[in-house]
Amino acid sequence: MRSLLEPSVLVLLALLLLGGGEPGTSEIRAGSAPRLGVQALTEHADLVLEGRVLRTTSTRRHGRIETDALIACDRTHVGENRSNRWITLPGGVLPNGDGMLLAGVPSLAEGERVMLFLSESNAAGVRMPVGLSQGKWYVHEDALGNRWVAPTRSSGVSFVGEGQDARVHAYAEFLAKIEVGRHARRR
Amino acid sequence: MRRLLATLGVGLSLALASGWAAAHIRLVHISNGKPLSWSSPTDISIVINDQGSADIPDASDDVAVRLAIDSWNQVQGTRLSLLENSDPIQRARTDFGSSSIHLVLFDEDGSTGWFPNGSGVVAVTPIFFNGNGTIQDADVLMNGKDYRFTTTGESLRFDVQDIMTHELGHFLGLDHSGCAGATMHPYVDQNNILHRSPSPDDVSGLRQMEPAASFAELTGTVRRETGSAVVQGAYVSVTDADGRTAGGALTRPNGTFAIEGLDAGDYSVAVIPLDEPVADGNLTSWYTIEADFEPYLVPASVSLARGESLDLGTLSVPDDVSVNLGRAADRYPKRVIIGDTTTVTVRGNGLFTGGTLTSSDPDVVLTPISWLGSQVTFQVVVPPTEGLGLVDLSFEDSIGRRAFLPGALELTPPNPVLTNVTPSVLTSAGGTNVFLSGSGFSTGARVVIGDRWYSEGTGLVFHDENTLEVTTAPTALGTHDVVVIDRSGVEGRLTDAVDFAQIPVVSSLIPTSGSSAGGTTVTVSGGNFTTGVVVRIGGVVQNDVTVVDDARLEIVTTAGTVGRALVEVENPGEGSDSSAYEYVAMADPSVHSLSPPTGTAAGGTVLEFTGADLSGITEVRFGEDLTGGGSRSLGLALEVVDSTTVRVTTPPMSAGVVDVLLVDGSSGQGVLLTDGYTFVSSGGSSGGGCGAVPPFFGSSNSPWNAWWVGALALILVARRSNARAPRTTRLA
Repeated sequence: MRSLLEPSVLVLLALLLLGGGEPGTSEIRAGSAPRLGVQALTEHADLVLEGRVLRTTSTRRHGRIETDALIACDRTHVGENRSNRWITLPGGVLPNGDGMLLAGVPSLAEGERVMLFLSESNAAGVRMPVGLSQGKWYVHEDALGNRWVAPTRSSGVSFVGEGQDARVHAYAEFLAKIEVGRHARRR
Repeated sequence: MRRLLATLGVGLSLALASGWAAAHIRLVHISNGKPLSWSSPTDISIVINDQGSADIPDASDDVAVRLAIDSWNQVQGTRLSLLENSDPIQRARTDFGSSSIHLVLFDEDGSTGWFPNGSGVVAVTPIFFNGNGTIQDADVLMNGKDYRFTTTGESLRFDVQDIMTHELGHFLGLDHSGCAGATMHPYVDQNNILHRSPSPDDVSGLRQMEPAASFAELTGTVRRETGSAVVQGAYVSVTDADGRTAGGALTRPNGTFAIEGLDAGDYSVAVIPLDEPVADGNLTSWYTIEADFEPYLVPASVSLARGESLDLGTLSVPDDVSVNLGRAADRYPKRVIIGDTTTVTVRGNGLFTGGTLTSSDPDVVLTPISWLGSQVTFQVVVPPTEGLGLVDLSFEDSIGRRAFLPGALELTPPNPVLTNVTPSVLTSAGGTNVFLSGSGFSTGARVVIGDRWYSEGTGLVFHDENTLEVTTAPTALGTHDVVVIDRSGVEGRLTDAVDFAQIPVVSSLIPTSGSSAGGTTVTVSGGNFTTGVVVRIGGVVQNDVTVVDDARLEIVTTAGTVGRALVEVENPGEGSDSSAYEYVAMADPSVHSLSPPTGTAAGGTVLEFTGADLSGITEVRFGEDLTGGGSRSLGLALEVVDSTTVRVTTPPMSAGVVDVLLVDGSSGQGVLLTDGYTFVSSGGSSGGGCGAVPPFFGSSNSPWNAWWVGALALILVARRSNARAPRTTRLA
């Protein structure tokens, strides 16, 4: 863990010195959700956590179908830190096959290692992934222990570090951007 | 393109995917991959909540939603269509959770629960489905709490029509598209309007879902050049002979694909990794996308006849490369204007000097200005003769590595320019012919004025590229912009171009002539008649004016000079309208009695009118409906007995109370008997086959029949008079 933090601190410092920006993310908007960079995702989010999906269960409540997911949290970047946390997301499929989806809203599968940016809970306790699909990232790790974060189940390491707009991030760089977002929240 | 370490499948069996076909990209059941579809795909009911957007006070958001609905309904070759239910009771509903209503709703306070704080979501389309993939319910919810919407291009706001067209695509069953220029491209930006009209890729999706005609299809299998393994989730894109992006499909888990819904013609085919700007995260989670290969362009174009299914066989894709076109963070499509030169920047990777950038239409010339590796900036020259549509970009670097971005450029005309609208002061009652002058008008355009929109065939006439003509419908009072929206979605607007006032409209007078002695009851029909309306005949203010309702006035004329005179109807401070009238020297016809006052709807009853000055009567009209809503028929066998008596035989008409008008054809004089006659149902007297009729109704000669007819007439008269209380029956 320490070895990961050190580069992230360096990147964070660099980002802060450079203004910490993700140029254009505040102006650029997307589809049924704003197009958000990591910093903006963090600024929006009520809960940012990183962990492995242990279990998912879909249920019909209040006329909607929702999925409860138990996450074994490795880290909680924004929000109260807990080792295990249940979160509820909209959508899912019941055992009888009935289901509900929102185009663009990601679902969680057991075993996935994810970084989630989640909104506040609504009155029913349901959180929305910030910016729909943009609120879910996959944490990948190779045999050598190198980690990176990507918005897709599959991920290309060749893009790591090739530019701030590439959607595959070195893990440390990603954490640094989260930290910039946290810093902005405090302001 | 991207060098991928691994592709993580979801482990679904091919058997589960047997029902899946992938022209365009369909929404599918999250667990079993069955495509989502409506069980009754034609005229799917949709209701626009009457509260609309709080950002848009003039109801033009309703128009924008209707235009979005219309844009999908214009798609030819599919049974899918939407039908707005505009019942005010339904429009007042907010219970989007009910499966009995499909609502478009702006959530201004977060009460739907779909937009918790920090959601960063502009709109959602929740779709409920069963295990077979049949859609049970869908609604479109717009986040008015956190985001601002516009119909006028205000900066930093989302265009209602653009967003709504995209969301309705989901509503119909489409997932996001791999085509950068498609309406279903996952990213739509503030003030973007290029997704207002479905692209050919979106069109082929609807055709594949619910075909209403025979279309061609391309099939094949995508495999890896190295190792021959099938590739699932590869995006196969086709481009027509004009170089326009025509559609696309994902390969199935077994590597096969089918691009359906294609018109006959020649096509070129490319297999593209779906990595950027669209990637698997943008699609329903059931899909597995393999993107670790280099794009492959089929060397020769293929020719398809109508209804033909052509198997391309195996398409082998090379190993991955590290060049790429397109970034998710950038706006797509890039708009380029026909007949103009546009500078465009596309980001990506490996975009270095020495590479070549081309468009799928060789007439669209690209001239790179700068190569920076992570982006290329270039000029696009589009000849003025080019047609609308999307154009693909392809890049090949100095060592032959390729990248491809389907539908990256959208060729549009320049914005229509609207310079003048005549007349500019209009009656809110509608019915005015308005001429729009400017440039760049084209067929297929829509015109929006206030809370109304017009298309060719529904109030809009395309005269030429400089002139459009609109016949207005009843429109909300106030000042409105006039907007011309080209079929590509681009628009021209003249701000505050028209003022709709409560100007009265006179559509007819009955009678059109009256005695110069005055005392003639003249009924004026039209619209926008308000309390306080002033009526002048020949410049003389009329004192005996009754406003029956906003569409009908009754005037008892003052005396006037023999000859023509103008009837002017004016709402003070708003405007006026007029119609021709004539004072004549003769006395007006009058009717004192009518016998019998009721008769069978089958007609054939001989009526006798008794009155005075009836010798000039030339016709008797039954069912003269001044609002234009009813049917009317002429009385038969008219007999003018003398100046005090006229006889006529009733025509067959529907049962009910009707007005009767006696007309003097030579002078234009007449007398209107409001609710003057009652047609009653023939009941059992027709001798029909109902065996349960009581015996006293069984004979047409039964005295009970007369009793029954009379009773029905009384009921009908009572109901009629209740419903139309202000009206008066005048028998002079």
